[in-house]
Amino acid sequence: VAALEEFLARRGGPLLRAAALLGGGPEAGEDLLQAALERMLRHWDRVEGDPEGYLRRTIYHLAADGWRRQRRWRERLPLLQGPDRGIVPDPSAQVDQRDELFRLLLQLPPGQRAAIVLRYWEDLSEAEAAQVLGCSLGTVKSAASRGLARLRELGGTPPAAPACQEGTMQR
Amino acid sequence: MNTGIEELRERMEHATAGIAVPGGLARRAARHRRRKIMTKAAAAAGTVVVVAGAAIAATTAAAPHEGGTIAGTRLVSDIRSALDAAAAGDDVVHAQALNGSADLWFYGGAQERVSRVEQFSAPGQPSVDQGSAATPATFTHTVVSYRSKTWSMSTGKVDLIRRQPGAQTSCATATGLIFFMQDPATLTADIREALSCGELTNEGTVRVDGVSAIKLVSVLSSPQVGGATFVRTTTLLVNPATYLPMRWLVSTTLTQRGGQASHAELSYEISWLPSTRANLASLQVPIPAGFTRVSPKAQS
Repeated sequence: VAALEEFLARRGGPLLRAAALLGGGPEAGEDLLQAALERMLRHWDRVEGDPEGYLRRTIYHLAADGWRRQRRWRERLPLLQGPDRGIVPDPSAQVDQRDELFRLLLQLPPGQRAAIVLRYWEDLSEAEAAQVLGCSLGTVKSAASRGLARLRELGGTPPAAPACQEGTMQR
Repeated sequence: MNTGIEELRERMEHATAGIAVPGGLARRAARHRRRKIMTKAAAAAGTVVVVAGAAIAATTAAAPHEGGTIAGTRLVSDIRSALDAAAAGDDVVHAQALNGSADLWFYGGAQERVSRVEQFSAPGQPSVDQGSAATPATFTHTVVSYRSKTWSMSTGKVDLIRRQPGAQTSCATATGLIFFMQDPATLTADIREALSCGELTNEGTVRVDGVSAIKLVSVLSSPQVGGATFVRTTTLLVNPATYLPMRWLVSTTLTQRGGQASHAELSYEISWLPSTRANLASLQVPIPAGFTRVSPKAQS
């Protein structure tokens, strides 16, 4: 554990920042990283000298689990709302830019969010991102492209060019 | 130059600037893992204590340490881990006032939250029933008044994400915040903070309705205008098998300069329930037939 603490002090920062983007904020990111550490401790024999790679993959996979829970939550939400489900946004409410980005990312489906963070935060190639996520190159291309388009729709960051320049989106 | 992508990268950089790994994270993960193994083993052996129902007066035969001690690191860690697991595990929190004056339900966390607070004028006679549902962007708040036979609903936009659990909590405010019942994630964060700050002392093991519990106490004393003194004592009784709070007691005493004192107490039985359809349904605020809808202002 002491060695792991030392490793985190050296290399944990980028992992935690990615986890924060995936989880929706610093606190959620910390929880995600802790959960990944627990899993790594459980499967220490599988780490094979690359704790950073293992942790990164685990963070993305656990984040997908969390997102699946959120989807279940959203399915339940109508059960919990009152008789009048009309929501009237209050235009006077403001959020700062930092939280605004977390909020926008949280509105993306899990695959798209993971692809966006891997490609444009971690700066991985599509092939590398596909390897981390354990999916095909086409899936990453499609997810990143759709994610950027969705961010544009949500009023986040308007991409000036498609994310997957060398390929077309797959369904 | 793809300026859109560059802008996204800059915003990600800005959003995550200053985020650093807190010391002790690996140790915390190791402890959490050990605790999960122990809990599984206990469950397998059939020794997990089931919190008994709702006997009102807690017959606490206290056996406190002399003067109490700051809650030990291991205990703090175990409670924090249990709270984290409960918050992440989709639990519904049910808190029932032991005097029958209120029934509280909470569900959700940083992203979405639902709560319901039902107040009673007499056992079984509701006076006010309030429910809130919030997502990162919006909220709805429903209030049913049994006194005026009216109900109202307000909706709006809310910056829920900004209040990441515990994010705004400081040592100075943690014990103040845990006075209020909240959704599992926020409740968890505030108790965690109070524990981390050493604001809770370990008073040893007590018996509650025949069940062992760890007693944690926080005392907050503050001088008031005119020489009065306000003292609030918050007691958490923690299930030693699950490390989750099972009782929540708050007592307040306002003592005037002349020695005249007024005292109030609140006690809740806390249950951590699976998010079954039935438990989720308890979070809904029913609108009784014949009640009139009015504006929220008319009810305030």
